[in-house]
Amino acid sequence: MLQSLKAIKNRIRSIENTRKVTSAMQMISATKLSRLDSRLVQNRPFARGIESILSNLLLGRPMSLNPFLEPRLSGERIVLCVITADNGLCGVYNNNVISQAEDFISRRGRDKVKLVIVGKKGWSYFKNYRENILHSYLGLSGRYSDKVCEELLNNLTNLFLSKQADEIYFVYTRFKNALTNQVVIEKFLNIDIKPGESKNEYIVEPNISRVMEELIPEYLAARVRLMLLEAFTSEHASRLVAMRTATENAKDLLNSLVLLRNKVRQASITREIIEIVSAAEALKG
Amino acid sequence: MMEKDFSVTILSQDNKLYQGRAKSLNVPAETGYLGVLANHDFLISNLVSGKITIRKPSDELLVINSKGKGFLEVAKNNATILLTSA
Repeated sequence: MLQSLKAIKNRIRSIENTRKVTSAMQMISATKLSRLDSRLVQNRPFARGIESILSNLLLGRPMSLNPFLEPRLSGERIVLCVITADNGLCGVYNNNVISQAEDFISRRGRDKVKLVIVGKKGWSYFKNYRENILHSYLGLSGRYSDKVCEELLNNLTNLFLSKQADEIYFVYTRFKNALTNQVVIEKFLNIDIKPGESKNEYIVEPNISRVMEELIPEYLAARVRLMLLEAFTSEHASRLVAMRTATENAKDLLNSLVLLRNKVRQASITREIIEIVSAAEALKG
Repeated sequence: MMEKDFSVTILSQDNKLYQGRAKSLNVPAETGYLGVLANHDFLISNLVSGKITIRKPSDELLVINSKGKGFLEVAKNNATILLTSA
């Protein structure tokens, strides 16, 4: 046996420690996931409801009713909001988002697209284009807060209203279930919504412009909130899966190393016995 | 004759507050309280803070206090209320 018993023991100890860390991270992700998941599930019908009211309201009405609805013809200044995680160790989660973002940027032209970044991973990836990063939100660690959501919403709507941006897109990960999620690019502003299909004219109380004034900010807020929740839930799910795999790999490795350690130990015992026996035989002469 | 009922869903951001049938619904619209019965015409309205009263088919009353803004949509005997804070 070439490997010494001591070296194997050291390896076993270090893998044991790694396994402890990964399994702890797995459990942390699991609790964060279940908390966010239930919130997300409750948020989806609200966001869908507000969208359906808006689309019914827009039925047969001109887009010039509200500045957020009007398409800008130039379309020269584009803002892309990239939602990534703050930490790695979550499989391909960050890479998928970043590669979609890169794709989008090269399609639209690097000089036209400015960025708003959520998450350290996205920030460090794009830091070479720092002059193109308008806002960044770092250190959230997948914790959703209404404050950040509001800040992000305000910054984005300001960019749009001050005409620094003609179009705003989001690239984020939509949560399907713990094993699958999907990176999507969605247009955020101007509001590009299909008018409802109902053939009936709605009565609007008190009047259309007042309802629009109230509804649109809530609609935008609901969308930002939903997208952040979707992304953070996916982040925890990806990390959960990655850490579970790592823990299982560590377990497999440990099993084979323990086997190897036993063999080496047994071999050295056998060798010692042979030495003693042969020495005794020699003495008998 | 039996009074007709219709379905009501009340959602807040993080919660489903009510889902079920109702004989009548009373909501705080901007210009005053608004009553909804079955077979109401198509309607969209924004809501202000106040008391939302649901009369269930059993004639039991359910009152929900809304503290923030809200929206009401009535279409085909389906009333949906969305509350931004409740």
